Amino acid sequence: MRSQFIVFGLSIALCNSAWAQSGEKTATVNAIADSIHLRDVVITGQYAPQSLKQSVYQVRTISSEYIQLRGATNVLGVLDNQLGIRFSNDATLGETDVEVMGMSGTNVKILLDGVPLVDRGSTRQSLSQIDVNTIERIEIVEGPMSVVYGTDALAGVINIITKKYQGKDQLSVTARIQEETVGKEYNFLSGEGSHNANIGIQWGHKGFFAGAGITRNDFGGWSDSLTGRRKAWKPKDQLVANGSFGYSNKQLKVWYRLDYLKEDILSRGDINYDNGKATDQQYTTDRYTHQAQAVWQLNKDLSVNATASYQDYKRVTRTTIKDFTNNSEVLAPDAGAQDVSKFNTLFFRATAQYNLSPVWSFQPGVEYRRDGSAGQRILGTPHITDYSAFLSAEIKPVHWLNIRPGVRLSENSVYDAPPVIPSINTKFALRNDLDLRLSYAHGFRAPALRELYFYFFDASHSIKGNNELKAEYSNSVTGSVSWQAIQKGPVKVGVTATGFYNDFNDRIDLATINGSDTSTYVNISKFKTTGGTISTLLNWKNLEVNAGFSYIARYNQFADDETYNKTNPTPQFTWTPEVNANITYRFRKLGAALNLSYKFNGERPAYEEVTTTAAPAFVHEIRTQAFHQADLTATKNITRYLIVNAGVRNLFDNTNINNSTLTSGQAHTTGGVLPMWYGRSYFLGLSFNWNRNK
Amino acid sequence: MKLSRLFLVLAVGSGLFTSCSKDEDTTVVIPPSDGSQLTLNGGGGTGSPNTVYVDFSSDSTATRVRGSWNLGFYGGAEYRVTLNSFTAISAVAINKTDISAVNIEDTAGVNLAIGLGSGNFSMIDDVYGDLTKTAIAEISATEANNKVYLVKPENASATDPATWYKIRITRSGNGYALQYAKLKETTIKTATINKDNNFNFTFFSLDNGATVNVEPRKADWDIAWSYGAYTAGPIPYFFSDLVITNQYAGVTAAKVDSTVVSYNNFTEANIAAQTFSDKRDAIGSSWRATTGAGIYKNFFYVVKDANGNYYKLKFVSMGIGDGGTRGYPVIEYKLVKSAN
Repeated sequence: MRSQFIVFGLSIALCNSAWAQSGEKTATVNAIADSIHLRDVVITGQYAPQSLKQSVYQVRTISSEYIQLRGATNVLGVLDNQLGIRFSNDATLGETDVEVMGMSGTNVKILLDGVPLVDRGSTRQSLSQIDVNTIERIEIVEGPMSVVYGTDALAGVINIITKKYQGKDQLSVTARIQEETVGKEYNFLSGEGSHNANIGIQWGHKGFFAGAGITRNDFGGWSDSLTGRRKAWKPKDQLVANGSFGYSNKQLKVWYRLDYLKEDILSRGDINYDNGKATDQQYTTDRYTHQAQAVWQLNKDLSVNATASYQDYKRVTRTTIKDFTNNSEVLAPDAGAQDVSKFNTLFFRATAQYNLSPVWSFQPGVEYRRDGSAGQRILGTPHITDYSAFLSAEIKPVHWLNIRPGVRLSENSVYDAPPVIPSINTKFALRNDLDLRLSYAHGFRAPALRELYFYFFDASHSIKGNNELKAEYSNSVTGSVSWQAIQKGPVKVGVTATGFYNDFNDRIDLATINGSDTSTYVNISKFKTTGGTISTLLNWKNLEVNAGFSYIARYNQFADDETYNKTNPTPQFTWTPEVNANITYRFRKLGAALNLSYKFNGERPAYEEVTTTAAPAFVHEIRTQAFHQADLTATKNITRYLIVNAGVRNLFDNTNINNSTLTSGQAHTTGGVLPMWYGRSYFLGLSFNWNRNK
Repeated sequence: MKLSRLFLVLAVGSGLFTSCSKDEDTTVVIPPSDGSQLTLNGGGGTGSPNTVYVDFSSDSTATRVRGSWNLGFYGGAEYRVTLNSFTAISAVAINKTDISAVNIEDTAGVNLAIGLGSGNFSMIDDVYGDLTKTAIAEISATEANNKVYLVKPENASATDPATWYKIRITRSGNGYALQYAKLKETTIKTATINKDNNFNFTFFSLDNGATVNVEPRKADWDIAWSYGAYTAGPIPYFFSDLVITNQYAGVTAAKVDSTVVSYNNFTEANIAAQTFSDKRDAIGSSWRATTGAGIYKNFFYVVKDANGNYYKLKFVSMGIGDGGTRGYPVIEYKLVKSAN
């Protein structure tokens, strides 16, 4: 808790010094504002901030207004409505992974202002460890972005853009309290339920700026049908803080930012009434993300961006045995019961943007990354270093055409990095209101430290890492058409259709080398995804409707498996439909808005190999149940400083969804039930927003 | 907006960041047990350095180093030799009867990797304890029918056959003659093992070249807890926390659903309704899950010992979320029907 007070003290000090200088002038709260999507400025993968329409990438954006409309308390709370994005919850560890367009989190790159966030394994916990209150915008780019962003950016990039100084003298203070039920469980302010609070301050004066914020997200867990101490959803307590300062003028903007997270996940065990004891596990994560960035506009044709970051991630597992007969507690002596895992990453990226002529622009860049790790099941304290250089060009031979070829060269200290990563993105403005984008790209995923240096030998495991691994790579073709069908008059309609095909090779999987009893990671498997989305945006007076459909296929490995493809033929792809809708109605006079967010996640088929004693192994189709999810939220200004919001989450009262696997109960299977939600929940929040702009 | 109001908001807000203690301070009172409780000294961890033999009637355990032996020579009428199924040992026959003629070249193409997805059931003894289905064929009275076997003990390397043994067993009077050597060794060692009908088996260590005291006398143990060979679908799989019964002495066991009759309420009158299994996995791995659940508290067991005594048996802790320590399981049992 100490860091909280330091940050807090700093904010008060900043607040005071600015206060003395000028009178009170506030701007109306503008949270319930229109979002005119096509004018949205995006920056992910761009040479300079660019309008969505001009971007050579198909980018989806989620605004802070939308975050507020949804009353979201974490990033997942707004991504849940996105086509092609699904979550999987790990009930044991209390963590959530994200899947983008049929690809699991390990192929998704999570960026904070362009800085890749560290995760300890393949699960993208980092996404739910970001303070949602600090977010200005989320940009999602589908398809490989490996030329610019390097490893892991195969399925796409989720770039979290934080709120920034807007260049004016400003002072703003925001505060937020939100109380939520977790299903039917709730207790006021602490314990059962979800309790969220935030305070933030932003200050700017004569080019100097600073900001700080602190957020507490306290999730009480959810019991489901359990009656003992154990909970189906583990209680999670997050303290997230950030502080930043910087300076900007017309040519230069430099800033430093620190994000800190402390997360406690508590997994309580049931009391064993045969001995009066229970085993509890606590997972404590400390994460420091330092970043310093500079944008320097040397002249009108040349700019330089530099980003440096140091991240320090530590996760402590503490297992205690509590004796309820005498209320004593001891540390569990078992192997692996106490652990400290550490990861740290040093990262540097610099790019220059140079406009040679109206036709030719270039972006050369260099990147350096050093990852280190230590902890249980990691052999030694390894580190890997990666050096990359990349170059892309933007060619606009005619006004309606934009071609961007790019290439990345990499050298790695440990594994055999793919020497050349190419991509080409094109955008054709077929008409004023019709844009076509086509791209081909090579994506790659470097072997993770875990895959290179894993070491786990016990009675039932004999697994070691393999430092001979190559990178996984993909070939991807993506296309999209955006049509602003109706732009004039009271009704505005836009339609976007996308399609993609990804072919992943040399995927890293565990396998047993013939004649050995040790498993290791090898570049063995293949994967493919394909599909498309269509989405429409309609604006009519105070109504905004966004609706879409996606149909995404994932590769079924048994289709090409010679053991089965003759006797038990199965299709190469398994398809899943999704439908989403997001309806917002604004009551302007009242200063209120209603939002309905809906998504249908269609039934997901997959195939598994079933081995039994009774019969030869066979391939079995698993179906993961379809489900509807919907949230309804209302927001209203009650004074010029205060906004109240309330809503119902998970209107369809989802809890666990069924999965028809036959392998449930075996080691390492999640079984036939997937935890998806914790029942219909209600929330009430209050936001305070005071600001003074000059 | 007044500054004081701003401070008020900030002050109220900061109060929300302080955490509250979340745990309850329940005190649990455990009723005193009227049976016996034993902690088995498995040696800790999932690999169980020890095998622990339990005798209910004497409230005693016998703790043995799990890997202290390789071969068990049957003391009964048949001439059978078992592999130490509490270790990942595997064996395969070579179509030769002259052990001196078997050398490292004979291992070409032979894969003795077992466990963790490797190997098959022909390389190990029957996991249910059927003595007619041992990996090593019955030792024939016709000397020329007894083949040489390649044996890879648990501590040998699957990829380095020089660490394996070649063995050949023949009958010798009312006992066994064993010839053995490592595959690059030229000197063949020999041992004579006599049958002892007081024991199920006489145990032999290839590394130490001597017989080893392992099992108690066959009438003096009921169940054994160990790491051991079992099955996961079509492949052999080695289980931690495996419990076997002394099937060769006639011990049987039944699994009882505690929602039908609870452990405390189980009496002699409930015995007749139970189905007893004479296989060695009558308890097996069915009492616990090694990931997640731990001990299934909705089951307990009834064990009938070789003398006809019936004991009810429950597992108290095994170290998965139950306050116990892995590798030191705690059991509780009580006599429900005496043979006398």
